[in-house]
Amino acid sequence: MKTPTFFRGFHKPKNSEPNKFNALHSASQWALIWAKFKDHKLAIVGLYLLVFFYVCILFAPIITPYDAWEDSKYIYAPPSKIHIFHEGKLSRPFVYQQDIMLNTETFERTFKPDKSKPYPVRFFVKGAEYRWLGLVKGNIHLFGVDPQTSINLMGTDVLGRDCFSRNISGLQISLTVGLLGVFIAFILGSVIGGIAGYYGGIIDNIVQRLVEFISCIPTIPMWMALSAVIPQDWGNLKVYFAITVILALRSWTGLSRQVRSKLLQLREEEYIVAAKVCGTSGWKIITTHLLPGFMSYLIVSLTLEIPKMILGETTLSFLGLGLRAPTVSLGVLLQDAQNLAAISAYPWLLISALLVVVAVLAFNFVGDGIRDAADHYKN
Amino acid sequence: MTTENNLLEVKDLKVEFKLRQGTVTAVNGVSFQLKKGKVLGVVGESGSGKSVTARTLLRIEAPGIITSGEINFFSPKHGELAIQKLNTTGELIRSIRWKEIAMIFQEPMTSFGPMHTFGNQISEVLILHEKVNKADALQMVIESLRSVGMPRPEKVINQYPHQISGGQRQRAMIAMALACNPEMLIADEPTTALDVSTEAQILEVLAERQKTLNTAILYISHNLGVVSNIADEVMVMYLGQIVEHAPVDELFRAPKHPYTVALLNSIPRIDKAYHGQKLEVLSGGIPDPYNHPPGCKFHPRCPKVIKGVCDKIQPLQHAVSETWSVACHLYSTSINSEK
Amino acid sequence: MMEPTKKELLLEVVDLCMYFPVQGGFFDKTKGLVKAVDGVSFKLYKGVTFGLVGESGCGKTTTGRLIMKVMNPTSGSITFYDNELGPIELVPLSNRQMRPLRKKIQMVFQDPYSSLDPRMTIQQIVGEPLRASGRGDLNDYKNKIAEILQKSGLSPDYMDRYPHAFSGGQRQRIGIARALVTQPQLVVADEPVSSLDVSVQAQILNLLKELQQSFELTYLFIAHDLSVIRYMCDTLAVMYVGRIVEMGRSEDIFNHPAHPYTEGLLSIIPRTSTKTKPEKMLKGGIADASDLPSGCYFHPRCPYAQEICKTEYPALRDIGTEHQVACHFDLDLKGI
Repeated sequence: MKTPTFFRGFHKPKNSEPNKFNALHSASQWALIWAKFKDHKLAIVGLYLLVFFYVCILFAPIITPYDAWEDSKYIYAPPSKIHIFHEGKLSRPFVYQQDIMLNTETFERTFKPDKSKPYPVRFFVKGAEYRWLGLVKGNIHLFGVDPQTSINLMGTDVLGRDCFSRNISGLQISLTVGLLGVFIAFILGSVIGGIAGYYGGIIDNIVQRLVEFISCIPTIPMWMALSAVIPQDWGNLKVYFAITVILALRSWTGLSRQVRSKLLQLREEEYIVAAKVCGTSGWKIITTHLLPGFMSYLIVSLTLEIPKMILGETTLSFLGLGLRAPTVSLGVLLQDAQNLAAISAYPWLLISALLVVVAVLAFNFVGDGIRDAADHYKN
Repeated sequence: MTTENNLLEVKDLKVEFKLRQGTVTAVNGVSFQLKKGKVLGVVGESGSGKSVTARTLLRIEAPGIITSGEINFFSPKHGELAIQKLNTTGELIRSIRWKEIAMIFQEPMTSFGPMHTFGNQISEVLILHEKVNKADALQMVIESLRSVGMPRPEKVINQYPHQISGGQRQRAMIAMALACNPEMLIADEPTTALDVSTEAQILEVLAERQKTLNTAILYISHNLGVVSNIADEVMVMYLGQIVEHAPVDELFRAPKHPYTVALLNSIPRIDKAYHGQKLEVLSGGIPDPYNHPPGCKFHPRCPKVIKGVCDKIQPLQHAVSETWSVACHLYSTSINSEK
Repeated sequence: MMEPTKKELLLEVVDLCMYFPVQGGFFDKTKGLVKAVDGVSFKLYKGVTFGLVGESGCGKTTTGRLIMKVMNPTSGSITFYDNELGPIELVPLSNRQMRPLRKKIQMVFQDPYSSLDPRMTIQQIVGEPLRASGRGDLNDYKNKIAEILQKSGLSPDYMDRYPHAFSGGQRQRIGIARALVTQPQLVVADEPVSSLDVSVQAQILNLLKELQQSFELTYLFIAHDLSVIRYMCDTLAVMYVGRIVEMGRSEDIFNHPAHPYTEGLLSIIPRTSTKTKPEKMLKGGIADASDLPSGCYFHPRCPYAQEICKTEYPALRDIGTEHQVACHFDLDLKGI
């Protein structure tokens, strides 16, 4: 058969065409999103930071030189200085032993390095025992110094506990409370929002009013009320779960609204009508067209929801309503920095606040990056 | 061509968009003149650069960048102005927009703010440019709405954009554009979103106002029928270039450029019974904006392509008569004499 | 044109109505009804292209969607004469019962952008109707897709690409391939070319004609552009606010329109050969479907309106071979 004239322009691409061109054309939605995401510099920085944080908390007991609860005689010691010159000669990194001196007039402790003997920083040293992920027993730490002295990268607190070890342990709780809370909120939000958006009518109306009601309640009093219900004698783990549930109970509302409105919008898309016309069943339409359709939007709102959770936990714990010592979270750590005197005398206690800010910013950058990349109607 | 009646002269205008995927030359060496009180139609498909050209005249081409060329506007108030040199947010260009060059868009819903009444929005333009008080301005708005055939203009000035139909909104848009009696009006596909019966009415209003006020119009459309009804002259654009420029009647009677010919043939004619005949079609689609073909940009789709010429050399504008120019090697005297 | 002797009925629509409630006030009280489609009846014969034409809000798209069973009509009947199963009444069928019939009645959409799922490859998109009716053998499935893509003017090499890699015209070819992959008997084409560029429009129109011949298709062709309708359709119906005002063979309607609205529409189409005469202009705008005029809906705009037009809606009546009009008078009107 002679090719009709109007087919001419659509011949298959010539072989000389670069592969990149073909790759772009058969790139899936996700590949395109990733390609655009990579252009967002801040988002990439945020992503690196987050990966770094999560690697840190995954290997927390190994990275930290001390147990987060182990006290010492070094009370309110400032961050240790790492030296590389001993008596004018270059040597491997080391610390000096700190002599504690008590100022008898002000009762302030001052620390003076004893420059006679260097204590080199050693790697993979034996130290406090731990169970990695609660399973693997071990006592090897990434770095450390001889037990006669101590290395405190972020100083120590009122009981002489190593703030670096405590901050890393705090991150462990604070950054996972967000994930777990968002997971619960995600399930609540997408199921409830999905039902509202899919069925519409009265069900939608009831759900919307409920969402409005919950959004109306001021956040902090609601948290206070809910955390007052947590029995005092609950263990760490139980309180931790209770807090995540409290946080999730507040934040599913936003998610459910987004799911609902996206669903309502997608239902009107012509390709959904097309799928129906093709004879695709209702369940198949939901799983193959609707769900993938708003997955990218869900991920965006999830990433933006996590920092809110982190802040929520920090706020609650800081106010003394959330996690309580001996549990370590960034909010609990910040309780130590509550008074002005402490901040002026021991500014390193504020490093926990810095970590909160950095983690929240990183999540926000990543969320912004995904949002810009997923919004394929923009370009 | 004589120049004393020119209101606008565009010379070798180039506008580029620098995008992530590459540079798009949306307007590539466009030159034309618009005479006082005349209607110049611009016809083209998507990617032809017709809208970008129009927006550049008002300096709202961003994120596009003018890379070369001149736009000279002969303003009765400011004298000759080199528009391409003006600051896009400066005092001078703002005093020209609406007052001397007005523009109407395809979608009148988005051209009006949803939160203000027509009376407020149109009178605002008058207060700003004509220095009249609010009461006088409202009176002028009613007059100008009446002049575009808006029913019950006294009522409409208190209404919001969503309260009236698309056709009526477009009437209001025309009233607003012509309220300051500009020298020139740019109409960017003003009837594309409308029904045929409304379209005919809007075209009629536009033509009537143009004659009474002697406004020059640059009328942009993809619809050849619409352009042939309203314009005095027509430019046909393809991929950022003008391929043919001629008086409207002559162009549609005997088009010269193969693209114009093909475009006219590919529209089903209302006054022809086809009896199973096929339409003559152009092969292929409009090329990707990042990879324009070399030589004549139309050569890959052209049925009259001259091998070794059209795919290598970009054709110049060849005058086939005093008022008619074609950018095609078929009309080049040197190439034809070689043959 | 069809030979009158071998006319075989494929679809019969009788008195189809679709009313939408208008809600307003504080408690979503139903204020009134918008009669989007109001008593539409027509017959579709095999191998014929039947056009539905009218301005926005005339109910042509709703009629198409009712036939596709995307929504259920308020009343009326739609009978599909299947070549294996005989006549089937579509209106009472549930979604599940409708599913096996889907492959016999397919649709081409207006917007080539929103009608293709951006997350699916071309193979998945075109194969969707096949998968819905049981995919069967994988090789057979792929061959069918490749074949229909080829016939629609696309290289089967494009199968693994995503819609974003294609231009509007190519996307519309994909949409056509999806509609035809199950070899349907009836194709509803809802404004298939109105969002395409002029030069691409002609390619798609020719493609639709070509495929009609090779697959013996019947088209219900919905459009607002009368020139496209004239090129494509053998018979057509002109709709105005939910009702058919004139119906007949294409040539009869274009040469001898019988309804003033048809005449008005024909005279105002902007064309390159002649200028539109202002005296022929249709006055005013389309009637508001929620606040209809009394009598004939067209009378406020009609240059020939008499007293009776304000009180009585004219019934559709025969005025010639297969030519029907809803007008009180036998007017001597001008065609093209």
